[in-house]
Amino acid sequence: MTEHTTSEHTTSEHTTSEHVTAQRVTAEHMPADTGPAETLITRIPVGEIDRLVEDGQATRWTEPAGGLLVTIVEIGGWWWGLREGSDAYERLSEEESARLTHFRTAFELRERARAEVAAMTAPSTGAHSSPPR
Amino acid sequence: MTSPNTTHPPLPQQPPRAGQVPQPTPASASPTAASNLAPTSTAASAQAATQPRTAADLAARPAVTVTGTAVQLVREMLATTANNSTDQYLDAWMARLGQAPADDVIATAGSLRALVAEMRARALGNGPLAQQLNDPDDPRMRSAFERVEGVIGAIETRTGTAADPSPFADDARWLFDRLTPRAVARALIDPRGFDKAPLPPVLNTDQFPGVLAGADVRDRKTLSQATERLLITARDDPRQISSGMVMALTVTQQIMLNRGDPTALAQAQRVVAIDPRPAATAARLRQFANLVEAKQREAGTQALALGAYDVNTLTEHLRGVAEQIDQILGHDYQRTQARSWNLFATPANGLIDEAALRGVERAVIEAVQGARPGQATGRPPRPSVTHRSLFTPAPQAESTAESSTPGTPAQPAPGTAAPASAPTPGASRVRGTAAPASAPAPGASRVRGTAAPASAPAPGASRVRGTAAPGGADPSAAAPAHPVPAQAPDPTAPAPPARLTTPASGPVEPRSTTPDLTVDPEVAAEYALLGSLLHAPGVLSHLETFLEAANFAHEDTRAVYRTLLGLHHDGMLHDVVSLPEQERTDAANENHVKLITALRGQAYAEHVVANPARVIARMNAAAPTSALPYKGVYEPAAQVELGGKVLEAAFVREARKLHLELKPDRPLLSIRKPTEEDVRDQLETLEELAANVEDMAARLTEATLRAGRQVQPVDSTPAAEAADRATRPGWVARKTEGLREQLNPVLRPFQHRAERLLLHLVLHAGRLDQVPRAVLDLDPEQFSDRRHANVWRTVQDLRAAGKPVNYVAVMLEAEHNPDGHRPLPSLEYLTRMAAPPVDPETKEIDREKVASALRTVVNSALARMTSDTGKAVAAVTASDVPVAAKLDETAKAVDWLKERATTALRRHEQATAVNAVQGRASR
Repeated sequence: MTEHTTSEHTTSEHTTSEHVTAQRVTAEHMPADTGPAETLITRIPVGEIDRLVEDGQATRWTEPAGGLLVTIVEIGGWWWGLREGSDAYERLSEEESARLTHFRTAFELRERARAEVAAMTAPSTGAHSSPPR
Repeated sequence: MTSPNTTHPPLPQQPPRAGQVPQPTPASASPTAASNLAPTSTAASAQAATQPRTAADLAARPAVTVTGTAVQLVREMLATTANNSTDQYLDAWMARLGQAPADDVIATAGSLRALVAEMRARALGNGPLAQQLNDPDDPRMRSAFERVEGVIGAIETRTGTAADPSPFADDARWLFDRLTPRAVARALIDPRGFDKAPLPPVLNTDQFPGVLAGADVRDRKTLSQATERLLITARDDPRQISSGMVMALTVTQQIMLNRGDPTALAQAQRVVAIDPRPAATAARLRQFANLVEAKQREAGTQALALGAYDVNTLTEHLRGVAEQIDQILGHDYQRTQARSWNLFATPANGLIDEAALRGVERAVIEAVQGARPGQATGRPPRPSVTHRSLFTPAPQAESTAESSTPGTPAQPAPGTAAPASAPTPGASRVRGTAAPASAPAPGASRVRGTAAPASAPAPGASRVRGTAAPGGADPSAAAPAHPVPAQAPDPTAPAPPARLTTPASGPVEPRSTTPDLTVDPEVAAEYALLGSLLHAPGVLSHLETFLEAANFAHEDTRAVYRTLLGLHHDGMLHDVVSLPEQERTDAANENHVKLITALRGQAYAEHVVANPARVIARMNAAAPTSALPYKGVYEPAAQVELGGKVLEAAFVREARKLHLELKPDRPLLSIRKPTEEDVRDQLETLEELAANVEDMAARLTEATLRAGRQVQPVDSTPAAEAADRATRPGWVARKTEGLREQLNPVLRPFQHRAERLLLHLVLHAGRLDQVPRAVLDLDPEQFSDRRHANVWRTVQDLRAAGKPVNYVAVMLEAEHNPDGHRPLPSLEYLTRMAAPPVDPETKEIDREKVASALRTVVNSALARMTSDTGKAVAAVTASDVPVAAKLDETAKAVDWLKERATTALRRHEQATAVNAVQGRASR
């Protein structure tokens, strides 16, 4: 049985045999229709996230930064993050998600810039005066 | 060295300030005035006067740093006060100060100030000086005392040192001890009496610390160790050794460690740049040379004992440095130039970026001449009151320094710091300083003006340090734009620091005049990126697609990035890299000017960079303009990489702000279950091990036969194992390896320098495509220093990954890559490689030197291998350890492991086959 935890203001323990799915998460977290509060999923256990990633329903952030990996996954356009000391992923706020999305875009652009500069400089790396031979 | 019993009574923490100097009142001063003479004295100071000191204590004091000039000035000052009016002696002394005595005027003023502080302290005690001073029937003593204070107050005022604590207080106290209060009293009342008083041995230039005098100079290592011990003593307890001596010892130590590199001129420039009293250091260097020569008279003997450099022995080099110091001090332009370099002298590597400062020099001279019309030469800017030896790390107070004292507050413009040569017309200026209300004369405003702009942030700053960089080429931003001290503060300038408004309150912290360039990998990447973009902005169009100003860690660096983007879009920055070599220096200077002007004018960024000079100094340190002809951080790919690192750091900061969990991107240990392939690999490894053991056994047998030794039977009793450990050769003791590596610079100076040069070279070669093949073919194992070897491995990794190689990349690898090769050299060590390894004179990489270094590394590696092999054979054949038996035992163990692995593999195959059969059956 797979269980998932929902928001604090729900009335039950929210242990259910029903799998968390990306569609459900997406549907519940649509900005226009956030769904009924008592069923809103706000926390997803780590194991469930792993399953979603394996199923291809969630995308894990894989870009290391400074030798570190930030534990966030994207499900249906929302970022879910594992906070320090927590055992479940929490949905990040719109503002937080926007900032992380911004970084993701920046990382993608960095790769493009890398490629462009590499292509630009690859033919002649000895543009400067020569060091000793 | 100083006896451990020697104690120094505490002096008043805050020396007298100009505002506290009592007005020189002639003999009519009232007894009450006498009590005002020591406003900062304390009970502890009073106790100082009565504290007994033994002759041994005094004699144990190795040296004193009060200069001969200061003592001479006191003597002449006292003679003058006896025969002239107040105004006359003040005028005479102002004129005399303007004539640039042999030593540094500022240091002399500091010494004098310390002297008068000690006078005040002693006057509170019960000694003869205090009794005479407080004698209502004999005002002579009090009068003379006040006159001396008046003169010193005038000196303080004119030199702008009034608000600084004196670094010479300890020396002054020592001097007073040697003079005795009676001699001081007699001198104050009767100047001729001072002449009769015996001069303290402070002026005896033959003195030198006993540790070095007694050192065995037949051995360079011993002498170097003695010097090092003294330096450590000075660092741990600065009062145990004079500050002037520390600088001389530091220079000496560097010469001995670096075998004369850098040149005497470069070392002299560094001394003049950071030493408050370089003349004293020169004298100490000569003393050291005399000492060494006295013990090793002949140059040939010296060369054998202490090492000969390319052209000089140690003594010749010491004298050479001293001579260069004197030449610099004797030449106003060179002196001012060297002093201005203080801004760009980094504590980490002591390098001075000459190319970036050519414009600065012009600005300094113009500022000096502009502030002192009619004067053909400039006076050096006021040195730091805090002596900073070459090895002392810079204080970690960036934020405080930047917020409270923008620029380098201890460094007023030369024009303001240096008193005019012409005599000051009357004492009113001095009194105006002491009591501004009574004399709002031009002199008073001038004095105050001297201090005000010195601490005021840009753009009101008129100080050399703050305005130096742009001054040469942009008069609008240069010192001459705000050079007049009496000028009203710029209303648009940020609020002046507290020191301006309350100049006489509270103790003043010693201030460092050197930019804080503390190594922080994150900051290093930012500054290296910004520094490289300033002179190679072409890649900005790529960078700005993914890197925003907000990604930088600090407001200052954000402002610089915004400004660089703005300047680049307006086409105002020179792409220095693409220019012909002869145009690069001027173009780089222009870039500096434009950046600092834009920062001050907030042209592209609203944030006010409190200390643009410091920011630019950091950029220069992280991306030296001298590295422009080479690659390193100036390569476009490297710039994009650096930009990426800045972005990554910003992302990590953002994640931390959100309290998101961060984990290493690669697990420290592999959690993958071993596969059949892994087992096969392990089996092959075991087989290889077994073969190696057999081979070793064969070699051992041969070696033993040649040595005629019999193979001992195996004895595995505890006693035998203990004996085994006891007889283990010392050279295999791994515990000592770290210590040996630390001592590599001393024990293997040639190898260490050669390896360092090669590493330095590759860290400026971008993708290493133009590094000689012979260098690239070096194996990490050929480096004698494990840290060097790891740097080499890291470089090879970077190269294999197709990344540019530079010191920042290596630092980041060391900092962030958990799989990186460790240990690596310290970050400070790597930062010293920010500038290219060029010859200071030719500004080119010395190819012969590189070839020589390569030869040294290869030869030493070969010699090491030969030696190790020889030692191994010798140890094996000479030892009673039953090595052959041990090898047999090891071979058996390996065979056993091999059998186990084979069995495990066979079972695994069987299990796999069974599973496959069952799977087919179930289907």
